[in-house]
Amino acid sequence: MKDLFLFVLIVLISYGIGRIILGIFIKKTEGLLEEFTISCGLGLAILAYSIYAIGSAGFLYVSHISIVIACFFVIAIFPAVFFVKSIKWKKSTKEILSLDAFERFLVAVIVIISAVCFIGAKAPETGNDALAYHLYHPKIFIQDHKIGHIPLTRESMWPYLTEMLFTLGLLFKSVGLAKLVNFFFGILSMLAVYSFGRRFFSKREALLCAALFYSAPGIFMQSVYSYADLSLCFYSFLALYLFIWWSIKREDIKLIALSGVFTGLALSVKILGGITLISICMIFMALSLIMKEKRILTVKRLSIFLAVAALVSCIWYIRSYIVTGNPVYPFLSDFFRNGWPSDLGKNMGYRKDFIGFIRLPWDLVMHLDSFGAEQIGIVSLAFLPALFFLSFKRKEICSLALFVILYAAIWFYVDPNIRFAFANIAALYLLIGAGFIGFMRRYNFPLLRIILLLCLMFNTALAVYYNRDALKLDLGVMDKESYLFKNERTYPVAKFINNNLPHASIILSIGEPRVFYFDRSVIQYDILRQSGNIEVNSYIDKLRKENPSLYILYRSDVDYSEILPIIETKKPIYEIKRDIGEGQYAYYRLFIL
Amino acid sequence: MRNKANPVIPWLMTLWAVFVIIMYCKIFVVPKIFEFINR
Repeated sequence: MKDLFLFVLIVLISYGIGRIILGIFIKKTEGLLEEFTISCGLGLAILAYSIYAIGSAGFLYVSHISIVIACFFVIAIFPAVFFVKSIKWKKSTKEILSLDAFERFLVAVIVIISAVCFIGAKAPETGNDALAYHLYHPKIFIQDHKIGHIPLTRESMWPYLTEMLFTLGLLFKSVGLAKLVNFFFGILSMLAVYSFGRRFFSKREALLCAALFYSAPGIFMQSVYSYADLSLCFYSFLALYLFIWWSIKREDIKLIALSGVFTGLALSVKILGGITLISICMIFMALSLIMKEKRILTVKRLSIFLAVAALVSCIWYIRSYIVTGNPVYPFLSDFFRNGWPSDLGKNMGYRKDFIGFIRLPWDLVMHLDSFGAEQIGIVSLAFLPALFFLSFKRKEICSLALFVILYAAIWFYVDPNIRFAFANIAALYLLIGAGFIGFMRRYNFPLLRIILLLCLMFNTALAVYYNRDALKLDLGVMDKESYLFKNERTYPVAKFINNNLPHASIILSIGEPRVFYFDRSVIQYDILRQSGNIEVNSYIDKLRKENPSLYILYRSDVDYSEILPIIETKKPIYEIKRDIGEGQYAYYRLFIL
Repeated sequence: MRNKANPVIPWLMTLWAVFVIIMYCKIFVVPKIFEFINR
């Protein structure tokens, strides 16, 4: 109940604050949903940056943040009340009742998946990266009352816009709130796809595109973990949305600036937001060439876009440069002479050549393990021929298609993990949805519509299946302890450590990055090894001398031969065999060092 | 002038969609069902 109350408060504040900012850029929107979506995007960013500013100054206390939240609430309440008042309930109900069977089915798919994901988001966290850093680092920030560099970590100097919102959740002792914020980014992404469809296509196409996007298993499964990929998708897609809006209407330069704001926010979520930046710049230049615009005008507009994007996102890269000497630490280590050679993206992809790029639509569905195992959805391949029924003369279709190809090309080269291409998946499903409706208008072939509906039903069933334990937890059939014991491999170890080890203990984790549930200081051995400028054995000796309560947590499936002589002679104080996924098991052994 | 609708195209699209679904079932769904039964 507390999670839900805080979540509603955050939504209200983000809308209210965002609506005021939006007024600077746009006078009139297509409808309330479009206004709500864009406003929330801006409001959440303002909230995140406020937490970052307070945290960086070392005032990350519940009292300080509560005062800020209260101030925001006072500002946001008027736009929020005005929003609720401007909803025409009768007209909206009439509109919903006037939908035909196909459209009602699409609405049902969206509602069921949203409801299931909402329940999944309320369950305790079990996502790998969430437990390794998306939630673990905010936990450290709160302990230190300060947001900054966490020694011996790879990620703490990355752009952390989404993690600021997770910090807010954890500050109010609510993992559920952190997860619900990410769930909200999923909903906002779906609403952004719908609004795009409504603005440039039709209501029917908009509904289909939104349902196709949100029923992609990769999308709805990300909604239940505290990851940053949905916020990256949301901000990247909004950047493209605003850019296409401008390129068609050509009415106001402020739209380009707003597109720059969202590109900057995508860059503030992840370094990979750079793919959006490059893609939009390239479309920008391509359209200018096609339309034979004056060069000076193109340069001016592009400069505004780039300057705004840089202004919004630069803080993260500057702080990383100041602290580590590398704005994208630990990447590009050869160039910045700090960090380490990264294998990011090297193990991704089924084939990393031109043929591999051409057959991406097939491989992403049939060989998804090579792309991070997230599912793009069978519809993307089964209904890919619908693209032939699009009119590429339309500027919005042309821009979307260009974005899909450019983004895919850069993403394929940099790191072809499906999670990092969600914005591209949104654009692809917009094209497929619009193409499918175009096809149905021409051929009216019910069999294909039935196949599409069956695919959507299958995806909905998958959403329920993947969240079955969260549903049991919500219904009271399963308790939180059993849920965590079953779904989180580190939970029993964490419980033993929290109950039995002294508070000042330090745990050297070998092979296990998921340490969110450990209420003791943890050092990741993997990072210690990779960071290069630290001699591992002397560092361990130093730690041993300084701290009498030093422990090693060793996961049996990792092969670090240099550690074996240290632990071989010792008897573990705790040992447990756990399922580590994909049918594999490993022993967790805890030693006193 | 708009081209005349070719009646073969919808059947080709259906055939492709069914082929993809069969391949997907072969690779993912059937092994999962067997895994579930054997558990």
